[in-house]
Amino acid sequence: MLGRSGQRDDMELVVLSLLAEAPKYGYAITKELAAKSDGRVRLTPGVLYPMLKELEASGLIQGTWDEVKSEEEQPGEGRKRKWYRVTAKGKKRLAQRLAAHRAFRALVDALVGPETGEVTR
Amino acid sequence: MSRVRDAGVRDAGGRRGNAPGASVGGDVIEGVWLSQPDAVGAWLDVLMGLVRLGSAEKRAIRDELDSHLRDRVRDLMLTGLHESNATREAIAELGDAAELAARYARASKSPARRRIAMNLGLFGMAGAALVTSLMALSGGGDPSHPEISVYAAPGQQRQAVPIGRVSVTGKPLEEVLRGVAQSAGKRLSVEWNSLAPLGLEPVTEVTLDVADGDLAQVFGAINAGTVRGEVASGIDHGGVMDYRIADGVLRVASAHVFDMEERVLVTIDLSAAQLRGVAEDEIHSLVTTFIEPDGWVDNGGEIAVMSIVGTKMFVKAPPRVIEGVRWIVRECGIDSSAITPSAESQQSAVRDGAPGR
Repeated sequence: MLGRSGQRDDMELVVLSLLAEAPKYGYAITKELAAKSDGRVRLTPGVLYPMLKELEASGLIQGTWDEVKSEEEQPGEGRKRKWYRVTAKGKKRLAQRLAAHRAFRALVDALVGPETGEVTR
Repeated sequence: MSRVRDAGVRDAGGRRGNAPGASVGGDVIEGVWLSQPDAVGAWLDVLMGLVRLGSAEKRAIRDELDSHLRDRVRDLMLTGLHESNATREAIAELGDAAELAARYARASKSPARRRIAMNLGLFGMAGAALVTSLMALSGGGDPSHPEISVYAAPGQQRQAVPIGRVSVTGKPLEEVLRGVAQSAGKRLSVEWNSLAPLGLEPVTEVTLDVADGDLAQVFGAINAGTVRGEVASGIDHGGVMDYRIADGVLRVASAHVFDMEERVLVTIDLSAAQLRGVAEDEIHSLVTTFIEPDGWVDNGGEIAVMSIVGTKMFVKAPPRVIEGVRWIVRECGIDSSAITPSAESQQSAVRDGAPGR
């Protein structure tokens, strides 16, 4: 079972993976994650946004602001939206994390078997 | 998002959570009926009051969360929720404001930053000698450091002025600074607007006892005792009070103000590092990770910007940042067989005096 740091690393891997596909803003990340996991994985905004800030401070992702244009908002009243993309450094980190994740999964598969996932005693 | 005429459910007492109003998710705050956008704004006001970051960072956090909440409220309303309930749920999903503020504080102080802070401390201690050596580069470059040519000379710098013993207890900062300036024989000019974000105001109480000190020691003691804890140790150079002396005036402002004023533009020749197989983006990454990462424009900062074109790196930053960049570049290119002996001997001579070594 993963500890808190393991869960956090996993979420970092997931967020970097989603952003590596295409630039996204925070809310889009939460929606895409929920959709791709059939609602089984839910990244709360209270966790996501500080994580994005930390990833950005670490140079793994880069944020750029864009004005939201919607029919409901008048010109000049538009709110800003922050889009994130993975930096070159972030892509390296993602590759490292993926490699480590796959190695760990292969190890677990070798120990417990890839099909059943049951632990043999 | 349209404004709501029916404000909906009254929040009991208008407050919940650890901090006053921190978890307000309803429509009434402090007993005043609010439209939904105002409920979001009020909650964000509470959060901003709890977040201990610079004003620019707080503004960015507020804009981002405001956008998130509006998106979320819209989607929840599409599921059939009334706007008041949608707003309440969207805010509740963000959790307790105090906890969220704490997460942002931790995010701004990642392990990497703490390591960097140690390096910065070493850079800082190298201080005057390094700055002095860099000043010598202004105007036409320095033949002993051929890899750097300076475009613009930096401005005035700190001066060590002995002022004797300073011992005060619970005195207003303004009064202390007046006394310090008088002891130094200077007129005083304080830019309070720049100090306000640091929590420093004319009435801020100061207690310190510095025996046979100079200005630098006194300012260090004031910062250690008054500026908010996480920046007082020098983690963020923009987060402390600093001073300069010019024309008989002791000028006091945030370090950020002086950083912006004293930035210099330099070019750094990366040929040696590239010959050694170090790519430009690796150097870029090293620099923006290890040398005051929050200061770089690429990371959302203001004081330092870098661009690499071919074998040239253009950097505009305060002198101490330039010195750190130069150290990183040197570490990437030194001891290479591709470097000619004369260049190697010059760089070795420089490395002996490099910061943090």
